[in-house]
Amino acid sequence: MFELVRRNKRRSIILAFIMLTLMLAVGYIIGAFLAYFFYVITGQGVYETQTTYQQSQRFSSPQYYKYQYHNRYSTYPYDRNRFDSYPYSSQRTSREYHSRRYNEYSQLTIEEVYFYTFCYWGPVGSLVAFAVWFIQMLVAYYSGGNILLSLSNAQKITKNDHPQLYNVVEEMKIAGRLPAMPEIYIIDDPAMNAFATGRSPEHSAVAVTRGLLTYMNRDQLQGVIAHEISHIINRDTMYMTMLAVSVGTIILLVEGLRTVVGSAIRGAVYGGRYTSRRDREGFGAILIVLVIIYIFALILSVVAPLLAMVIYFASSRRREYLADATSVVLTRHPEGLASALEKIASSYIANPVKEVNKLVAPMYIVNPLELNNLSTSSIFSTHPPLEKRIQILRAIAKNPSFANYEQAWKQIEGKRTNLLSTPPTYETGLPTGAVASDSAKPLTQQSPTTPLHPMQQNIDTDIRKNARSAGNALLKAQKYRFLKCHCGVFLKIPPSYKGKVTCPRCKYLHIIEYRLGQHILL
Amino acid sequence: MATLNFILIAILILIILFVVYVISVYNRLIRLMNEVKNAWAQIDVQLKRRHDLIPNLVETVKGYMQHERATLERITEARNLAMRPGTVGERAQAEQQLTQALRNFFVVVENYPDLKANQNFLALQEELTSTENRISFARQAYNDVVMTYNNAIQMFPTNIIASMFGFKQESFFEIEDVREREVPKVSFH
Repeated sequence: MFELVRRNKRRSIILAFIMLTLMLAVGYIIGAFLAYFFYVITGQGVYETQTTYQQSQRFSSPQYYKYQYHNRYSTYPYDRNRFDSYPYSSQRTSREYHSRRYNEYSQLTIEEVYFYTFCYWGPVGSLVAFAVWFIQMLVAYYSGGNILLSLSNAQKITKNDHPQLYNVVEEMKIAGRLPAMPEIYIIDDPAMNAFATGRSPEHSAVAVTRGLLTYMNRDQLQGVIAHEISHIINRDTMYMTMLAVSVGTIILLVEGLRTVVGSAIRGAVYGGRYTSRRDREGFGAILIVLVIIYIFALILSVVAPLLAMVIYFASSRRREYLADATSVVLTRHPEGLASALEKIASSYIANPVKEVNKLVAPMYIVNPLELNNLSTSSIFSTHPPLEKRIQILRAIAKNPSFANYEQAWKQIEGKRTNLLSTPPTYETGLPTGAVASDSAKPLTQQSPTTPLHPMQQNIDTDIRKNARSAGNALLKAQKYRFLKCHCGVFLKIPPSYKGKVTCPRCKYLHIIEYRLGQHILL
Repeated sequence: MATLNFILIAILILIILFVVYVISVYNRLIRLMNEVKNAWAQIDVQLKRRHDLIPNLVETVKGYMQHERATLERITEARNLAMRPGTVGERAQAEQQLTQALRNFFVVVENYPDLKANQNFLALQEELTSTENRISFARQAYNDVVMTYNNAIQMFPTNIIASMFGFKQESFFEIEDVREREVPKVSFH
């Protein structure tokens, strides 16, 4: 059962690894480009600097050259194969002395230039990138959770403030075998939502809105809390923080890369008077290598941020599915979470919240910014489409486990079915699947060979009722029209639909016209 | 001579690697075994919590439920029985009785609207519901840990090391009362 969690984690680690590699690659290219440019084209660094009198004295004085013969770049006697190794002043103009061109770097062979570029300064760039990432990571590690909690104005509570919430959290702590009780926060917000944060299961927190506590029943609350505790168990906060920091670092580095490359090119164009080296032998090869690095830099600066973001959002969605599955394993009651999700969605659709903090929104159990599309998700969604989440949860209502969750997930993700447009294929039918439904008669007949216990039937009709009201809210939000047939059945018509519909109960053939933005029943 | 040295060193490295592997597996098994013990203790903690709640419940309810003396007595009796030290089987049976008595009680409560409006009682009811949930979640957690532990003991190659050090399989927490496991029968009359 826990094999699936492990597999999911392994894949997540691979994704994080790709992300880090990408980051290091950007750092490498920056380092290599800067170094190569410095060595070969200008020979004096990217920016032109004013040379002081002392510096120019240093380069022109004979003592300096005497000293220079003993450094690791120089040879004695004069070596024709090395750049600028001829030390004496007879061949130099005074202008060349007064520039910083003849420093120790200009005494390298091409092979050495390649070596120092790709095996020294490139890795140094990667190292700097890693250091930037690491510092941000440390900050996020020790303060990430608190920032989120203070951003959302969460108040810490004790057991006496809300015994039921406290109990539900503690139950889930027991079920998930957390090493410590998470801190509980309440956000004073009438909308329904919840999030979890914390750097490790030992230091974790769960925050729920007041709206959630007002409208959810115990089972639904348990489903939501189980989802949040699952995030804590799977260490999702840390994982997603790490990815977010990586994305941030990559974007920062790419900005840096663009600046560096841009000013280097500008420097090369306007500072051409110093680059007399283009007449030398082998300059073509040098230039080609530079162009190759330049092309790499360009490609990376376009691709890296995009790829990083795609990886980030894909892992976020994957983690949400994983938390749903884990929550089912904790509660063994998928219907709680499913109906909670429906309730949250329909409430947000009924009263769209104007102000949602963009930093906190991706952390919530349902992202309020993504509720305009319930059935599909783009590559930039932080959460999987709500309908699919609910559909998967309902599909495993009879037999909750990781294996079944994965099977349902494959079926529903793979087929790309839309809950609202195709009839459901699973047993405990969700009435929203049909275009028309009867309010009295259950939509899917139980097969006569498997009679159910009366209690079970009661539960099922309850589930159906809940599902129907929530489903209707979803349909209304998608601008479906509810037209009443004369026999009392509501026909739910998709927006801008024209044509014939047979009433499922009285078999009357309705013709539906769409005039002046309204459906008319003929 | 040089080849002999090389072979000796290789063998030595292999032996060291093997020892390190055995140590890590042994430590993992010990950790799992302790987790199993801890999970078992957790069930006891929750049962104790239930025992502590019951006198409160009876005290709160007594005034309202004059006619249900028998139900209340059954609860108290079952609680006292469950608190008595005994074998695991006996205690499990007593706990089962207590669960049953509490269930009956909550069915009966439906007939007392006054009681259901009492704040004290509502708080107690929440605590009891939560305790029942905690007990079942603690059992569920115990079973999950036992499964992980048993898998580790039975699977190759850890099973060799497990049998070397005498690790024994743990048994799952199963419902003692056979009646609870039966599929409910439905009559259509």
